[in-house]
Amino acid sequence: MVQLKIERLTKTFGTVRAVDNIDLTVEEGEFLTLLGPSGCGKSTTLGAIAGLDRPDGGRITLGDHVFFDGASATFVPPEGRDIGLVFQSYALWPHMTVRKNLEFPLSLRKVPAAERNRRIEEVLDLVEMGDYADRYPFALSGGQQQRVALARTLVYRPRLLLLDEPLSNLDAKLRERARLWLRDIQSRISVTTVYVTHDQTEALALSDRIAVMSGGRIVQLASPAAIYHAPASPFVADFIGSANIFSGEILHVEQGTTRLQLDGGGTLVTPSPPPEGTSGKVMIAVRPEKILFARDAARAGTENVFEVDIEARSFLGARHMVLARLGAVALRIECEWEPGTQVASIHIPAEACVLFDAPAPSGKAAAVEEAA
Amino acid sequence: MAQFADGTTDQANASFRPRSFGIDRSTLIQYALYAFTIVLVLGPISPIIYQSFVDRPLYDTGQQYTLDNYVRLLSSPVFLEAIWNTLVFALLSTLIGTSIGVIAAILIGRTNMPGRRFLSGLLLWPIFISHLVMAFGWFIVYGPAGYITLMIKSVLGVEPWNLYSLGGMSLIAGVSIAPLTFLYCSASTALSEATLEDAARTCGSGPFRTLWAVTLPLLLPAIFYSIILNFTGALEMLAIPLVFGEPAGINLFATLLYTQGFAAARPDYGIVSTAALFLIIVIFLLLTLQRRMLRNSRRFVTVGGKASRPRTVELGLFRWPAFLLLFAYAVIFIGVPLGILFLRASVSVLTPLAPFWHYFTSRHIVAAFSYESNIRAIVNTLVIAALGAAIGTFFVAMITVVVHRSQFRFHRSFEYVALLPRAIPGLVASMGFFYAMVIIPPMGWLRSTIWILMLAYIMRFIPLAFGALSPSLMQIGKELDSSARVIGADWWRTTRTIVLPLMKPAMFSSFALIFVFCLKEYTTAVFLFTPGNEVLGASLLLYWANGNMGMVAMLSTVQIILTMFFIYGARSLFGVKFGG
Repeated sequence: MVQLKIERLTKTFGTVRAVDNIDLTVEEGEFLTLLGPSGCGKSTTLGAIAGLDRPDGGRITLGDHVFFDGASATFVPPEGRDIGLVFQSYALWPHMTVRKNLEFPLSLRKVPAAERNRRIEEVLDLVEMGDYADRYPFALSGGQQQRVALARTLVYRPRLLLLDEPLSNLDAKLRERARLWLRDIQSRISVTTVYVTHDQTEALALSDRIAVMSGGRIVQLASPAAIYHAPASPFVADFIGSANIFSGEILHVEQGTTRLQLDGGGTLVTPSPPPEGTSGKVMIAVRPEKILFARDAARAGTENVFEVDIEARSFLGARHMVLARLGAVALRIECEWEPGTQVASIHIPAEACVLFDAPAPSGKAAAVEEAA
Repeated sequence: MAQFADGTTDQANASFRPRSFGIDRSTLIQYALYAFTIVLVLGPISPIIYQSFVDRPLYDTGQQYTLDNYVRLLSSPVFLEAIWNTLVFALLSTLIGTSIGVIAAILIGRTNMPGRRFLSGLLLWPIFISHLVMAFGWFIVYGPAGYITLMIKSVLGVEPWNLYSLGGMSLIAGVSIAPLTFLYCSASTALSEATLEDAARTCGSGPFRTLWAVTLPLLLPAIFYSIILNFTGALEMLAIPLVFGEPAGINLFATLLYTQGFAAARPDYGIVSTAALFLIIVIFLLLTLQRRMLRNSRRFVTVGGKASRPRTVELGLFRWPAFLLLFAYAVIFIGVPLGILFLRASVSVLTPLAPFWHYFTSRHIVAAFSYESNIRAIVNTLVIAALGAAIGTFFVAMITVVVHRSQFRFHRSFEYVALLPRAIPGLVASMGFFYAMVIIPPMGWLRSTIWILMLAYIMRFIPLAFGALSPSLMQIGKELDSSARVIGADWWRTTRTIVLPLMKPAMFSSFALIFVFCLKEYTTAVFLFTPGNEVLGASLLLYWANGNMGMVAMLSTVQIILTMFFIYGARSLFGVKFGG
C-alpha cells in the first residue's frame, strides 16, 4: 500500500553525478538501509526522498502520491510529503522545550489539544523520555536528544520514516544500545523506513535489506546475510567486513570446484563457480576472520594451506589481528589463536573464497597485448 | 502502542492533506520582498540616471535626450579640479586613517602595552559619532579661530597650522575614519595564531622585528580591505570638506554636489545628476574590487573568534611610551574636540583671550528645548531611529532568510540588490529620493514627512543590517529549518516559528546599530528635510550655515548624549556588543 518507489533517479552537482540512475523499491514496513562511503550518493538520495534536494530526473512515489517526477516537472516540497526525517545532528529547535518541539508538527496538522497531549505522552513513553518533556534540548545528553528527535518524528505518524545516520553522534556503547532499541521500535510501529549510514555494523544489525552504494549507483541490493556472504563485487566485499582481495588465474574448473593459481604463489581450490564471462584472471576475496592458522604441521600438504611470514600482530582483546605476507600478497587475519613463530601455516577454507572477474583495465591491457 | 501499526495512521492524519503547490504564500512573500527591495534601492537611482541624460529638469516638460551633461561635466574646470582635489584628499586621508588604525590595532591587539581595553574603547568611540559633529569639534578647537590654535598663536606669534587645506582636511578625515580600520584589523589580530609570533621570538627576533615581519603581513588582507573602505568613505565624505574646504574655496566632489544641487539658488540638475552617477560608479567599482578580495580572505575579517589570547608580544621598555602615544592621540584628536562641544554649548563666547567661566550661559540649553523646531528635530530623530531600526531590522532579517534559506529563484541577485546601497552615498540617495518624490505623483504626500526620511535611511542601512544579520543566520544549522519543513511546515511558517526566533540576538544587534547610525545620519536628510520633518543632523547643517556655533555645539552635545545613553542602555539591557 505505502510502497516507496524510486525510478531512474538522477542528480548532478556540477560535473559530478551524485546519484546516477537509481531504481529502488521499499516495501511497506520494510527497514531498508542505504550503505556506502561518504560521497557515494546515499545522503543525496535521502535528500531527494525528503524533498530537501531537487533531483534532475527520475520519479519518486510513495503509494499513489507522486513526490517527484522529472518528466512532468512535479516537485512536492518537503512539507507536502508527510514523512519523517531524523537528522544526524537531531535538529531539535533550541528555543523550544521537548514538549513544544513535539507539539509543533501536531499543531501544523490541527490535532485537537487533548489528542495532542495524549500523543505526546504516548510517544515520549515509547522513547522513555516521559520525564523530560519540559526540558530544553541543551539540557539533554546526546542519547536523550536522539530519542527526542525520533519522538518528534514519530509523534505525527508519518507515512515514511527517514533516518540520516542518527546514531553516529553517540559513543560506541550507547550506539549499540540505541541500535537494538531503534530496531525494536521500528518493528513495533512497522513504519516503512529508509536508513542512511556508512557504518556496516549498523546496517547489518538493523536492516531487512541493504542497498550498498558507490559512485552514485546501487552496487548491491540484498539481505544483510547475502551482502555479507555473497558480495556482488570486490568493492562490496571490501566495504563490508573489509575482505582480503588478491588476484589469481583460473587453472581449470571441474565438478563444482575451481582451481586457481595465485599471483603470490601456490594454488587455491574453491567450490565457488568462476565469474561469468571471465578471461581467466580473477580477484579472490576472503574475509580476515575466515582464515585460520594451521596448528599442526600435519595439515601441511593438504589443500589451501600456505606458508606465510608474519609482519605485525595486534591484540584486539577477544581476538588477534595478524598482518601476514603470502608472496607479494599482504593478508589480514583475524583469529582467536595466533602462533608465536615468525613463519606459520595458514588454512584458507575453500568455501570462504568468493571470486570476481579481474577489473577491466588489466583485461583491456591483455586484449591490447593480444592484438599487438 | 499497537495502534501505531493498526491503520490509524491514515485516519489520524486525515486532516493533513498536501495543499496545491502553485503560487503559495511563501513564494508570494519572497517575490513581494524582492520587488519591494528593488523599488526601494533602484527607485532613487533611476531618476538620477534619467536626469543625467536629458536636457532640462525632471519636473519640466518636453525633455530631450542628450549627452550634453556629460560633456559639460568633463569640460567644466570646476568639476575637474574637484575630481583632482577629491583624489588627493581621499588618498591622503586613506593613508593617514589606515596607518593610525593599523598601528592602534597591532599595539592593542598584539602587544603587552598597558591600558589596552581602556584605549580600545576610547579609539572606537568616533564610530558612533557623526563626522559632522567631529568636524565641528575640531573646528572649535583647532580651526583658524580655534581655542587651541589661538592659544598657540598668542605664544608663537604665528598660526601653528592651517586646517583649511587639503592636508588639514585629510588629517581630520584620516582621524575620523581610523576607527573602522582599527575595528577590522583588531578582528583580524584576534583571530591570528599567536604561536606564529612566538616562533619568530624563539628564532631571536626582537619585538619590533616580530611585529614588522610577522604580525603586519598577517594583517595584510584586513589592511587592503580597510584601504578600500576608507577610500570610498573619503570619496563620499561631506562634513569635513564642507566645514574646512568650502570656506577656503577648496571644492571636493561631495561639496560640489551639495552646493550645486542643494544650496544653489538655481540648481543645475543635469550636471549634478551626472556627477552623482559618476560617484556611484566609482564607488561601485571599488566595492566590486573589495568583494573580490574579501572572497579570498573572508576569515581575516571575521568578527568574533577566540575571546582571550594567551600570549602577546613583549614591548619591554616601550610599553609605557606606546601607551602614552596612543593616549595622547586619543585625547588630542577625540577627547578634546568632543569635550569642547560640551563647553562651547554652555558659554556664550569661547576664546583663550578671556576666561570662559565668565561667560557661562543657559541660553543654548534653553533654546535647544524650547525652540519648536529643535524639539521637533530631537523627537523626529528619535522616532525615525527607533521605528526605522525596528522596521529595517525585520525587513533585512527577512531578506537574509530569503537569500540564505529559501529556494527563491533570484536569491543571488537579491543579495546583490540588498548590498547595492553601499555604493550610494547618502547625499546621492537623498537627491534620488527627492527626485522620485517630485516625478512620481503618488509619492508627493510623503514630502515633508518623517516617513520619507525613514524610508531613505532604511534603504541606506540595508547593507549595514545585512552584515550584522547574515553571519549569525549562517551559524544556525540548516537542519533546524529542514526538519521543520519535513515535519510539514511551509517556508513562511518555518521562518516565523524557527528561523526568526533563533536570530533574536543578532536582531537586537542590528537594531542597535541602525539606531545609532540613524541618530548620527545627516547627509541622507539634506534634500529631504523641510520645516516639520527636521532631524538633528539637518538642523546642525542649518545652524552651521547661519554661523550659530552655540546652537551647533548644543545640538551636537544632545546628539552625543543621546548616543551615549542608547549605547549604555543597549549594552546593559540587551547585552548588545558594539564594534565586534
